[in-house]
Amino acid sequence: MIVVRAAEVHGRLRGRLGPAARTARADERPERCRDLRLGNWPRTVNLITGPSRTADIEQTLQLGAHGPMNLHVLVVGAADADFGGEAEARG
Amino acid sequence: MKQGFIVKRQKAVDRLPEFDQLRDHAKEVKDHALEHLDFYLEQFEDRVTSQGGQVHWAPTADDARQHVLDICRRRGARTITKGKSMVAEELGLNEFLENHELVPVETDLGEYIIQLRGEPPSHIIAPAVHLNRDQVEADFRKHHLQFPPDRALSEARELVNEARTVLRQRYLDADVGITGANFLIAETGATVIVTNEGNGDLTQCLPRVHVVIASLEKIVPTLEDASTIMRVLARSATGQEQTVYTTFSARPKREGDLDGPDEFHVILLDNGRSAMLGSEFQDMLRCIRCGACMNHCPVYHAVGGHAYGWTYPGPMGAVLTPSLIGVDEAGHLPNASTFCGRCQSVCPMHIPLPKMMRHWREREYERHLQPLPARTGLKLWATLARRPALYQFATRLQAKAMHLVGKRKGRFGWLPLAGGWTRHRDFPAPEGKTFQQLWAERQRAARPRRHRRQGASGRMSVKDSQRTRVLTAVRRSLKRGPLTGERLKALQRRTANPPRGPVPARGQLGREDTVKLFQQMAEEAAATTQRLDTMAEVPQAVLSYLQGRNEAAQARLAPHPDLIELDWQDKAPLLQVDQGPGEDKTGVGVSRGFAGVAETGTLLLHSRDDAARPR
Repeated sequence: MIVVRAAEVHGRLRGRLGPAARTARADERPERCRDLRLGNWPRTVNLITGPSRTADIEQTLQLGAHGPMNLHVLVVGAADADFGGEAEARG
Repeated sequence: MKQGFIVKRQKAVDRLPEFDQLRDHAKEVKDHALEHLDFYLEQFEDRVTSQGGQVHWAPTADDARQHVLDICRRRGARTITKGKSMVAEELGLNEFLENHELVPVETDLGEYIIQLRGEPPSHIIAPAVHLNRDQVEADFRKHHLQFPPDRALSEARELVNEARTVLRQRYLDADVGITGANFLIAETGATVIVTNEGNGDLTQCLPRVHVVIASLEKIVPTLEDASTIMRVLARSATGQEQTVYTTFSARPKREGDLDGPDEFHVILLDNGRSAMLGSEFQDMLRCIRCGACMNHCPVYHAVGGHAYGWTYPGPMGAVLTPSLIGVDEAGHLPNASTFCGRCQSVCPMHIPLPKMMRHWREREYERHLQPLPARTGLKLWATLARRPALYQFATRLQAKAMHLVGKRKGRFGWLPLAGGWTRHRDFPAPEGKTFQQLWAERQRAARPRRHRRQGASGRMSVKDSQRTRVLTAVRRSLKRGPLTGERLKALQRRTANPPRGPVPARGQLGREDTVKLFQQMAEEAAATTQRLDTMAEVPQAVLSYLQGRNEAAQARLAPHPDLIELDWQDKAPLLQVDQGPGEDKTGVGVSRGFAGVAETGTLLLHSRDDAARPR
């Protein structure tokens, strides 16, 4: 299960990913953005699109090859929310 | 069977009106990277090293195998898990490791099956496509003797589950994990692999040592460039919007990481690539190994992958293989084509495969046409050239003799066996030393200076010389020295501000529509999604999810403040919650993604926050 804020959902993959909503304000708080182009990366960045799958046996789709068989995504908050500071107080 | 790939690719392409623009841009990116390969390789090396990793240069397959062996021996390794890697196939790595008393274990299901059978892959992305379920069942029964012989094993699901159980233990046993790379990103020093099974992730995060083996041409300048190519890769290969797991690995484990290797190595393999640069086969280096050319090839469909006789099958193999192992060995491959042109028309990198197959045919034809004296002369020369000591002795003798005879006039008006040359012009008399001698003298003269700079003593180390050999070969093919001045600055500017590829209209919706598209695309990739108003609702949502599936009310949290600070006790008293890295038996792991991408329904996590993801 993966939790992500609706405000963190971007249209496409780009170098600088943080809150997609109210990007002007987000840029004022660089600690909330993860700049994928910076050198100081975590060890890995993982892009995950659906549950683990394989079609290696007779081209039939099987989920849960090595990783999870199910992936449930919780999308939290409003798409245009600014979730720092006072927004958090709202709920 | 392979028709499936064709239909799926076409659907994915039809859905993305910008596909052809993306292809054009992807081609430009790769052409740019190849034209400046030396610069980007050095930049990549610099980044990896500064992040605590190690780069090993391998001019030949032998060198690469030796690097792997050295790393394994130093760590006293025995079991080695492997993610799917065509370069490892090219190196014949499994056989090599077995010959050195090591135990390589393929972890991609298809690769695992063919490893049990002792076969090479028949397709670059579907290695076991030539086998049916019954054959796999028979192999599993033969090799997995730890399970009861009367177990049910005829369904694909049962086969997948059994392989999962067997391989799980292998991941945990492994001392070293080896993966290939789909991309090497110069600006960040990250290596990228794409898989659907998740085997690559387990291969690289569980053992103590992660070794990446990649050929030179995998390099791209920036993350933006990689994401452009990623947009055409999965769509061309399987028709997916994006493969399930795309993993960027950039360094060894750091303090605070829950898992990951202590050592991170990247082996950069040349093995013939540098010689393709600057030749009529340079375009082939754009190949991203999607397999679309073979999926659409009537010859491949008729003969299957094994008929191509070496690592790379299909049209891309027919062009690449002669470049890597020689046209003598593989000259027949470019003849296995109907020139229908479908391969080129579907190639996401616009590689002119039929044209290059014609180049190979021409080369082969030319060879047979040469007259007997030339062929005999070449044969003689080849005999000498294969014996360097004899060759150097003979050329030294010849240079000396011709110097003595010709030094008075300084030139020859006539020479035996070279009448064709001397009829029209004089042949200059040698100065008395061969090129090899002069070169060795120059190297000797230059050496002390270089070593003062490097602070090393004695001979140039093997590693330095391998690095120099690869970079020199690349620059020789590009017909220039290291980049300097304005050209260098232009590359630095490009890295700081990479050209943006075409942005699909799909990626430019309003905020709410973006989130809706994200959910839709994630669900198409077989995920389920749910909207919540606030973070405080997460605990109850986790509990309801488990209850709805009749599963034990247990959850493991990734240690992310957003998750552990929630009031789990109060909001979901029935739920048993703990923290830590996910395991096979973890019922549900809850991770915090840091971003979502609507275009493909993709979630982004990183190694600090995603650790509870069940593996």
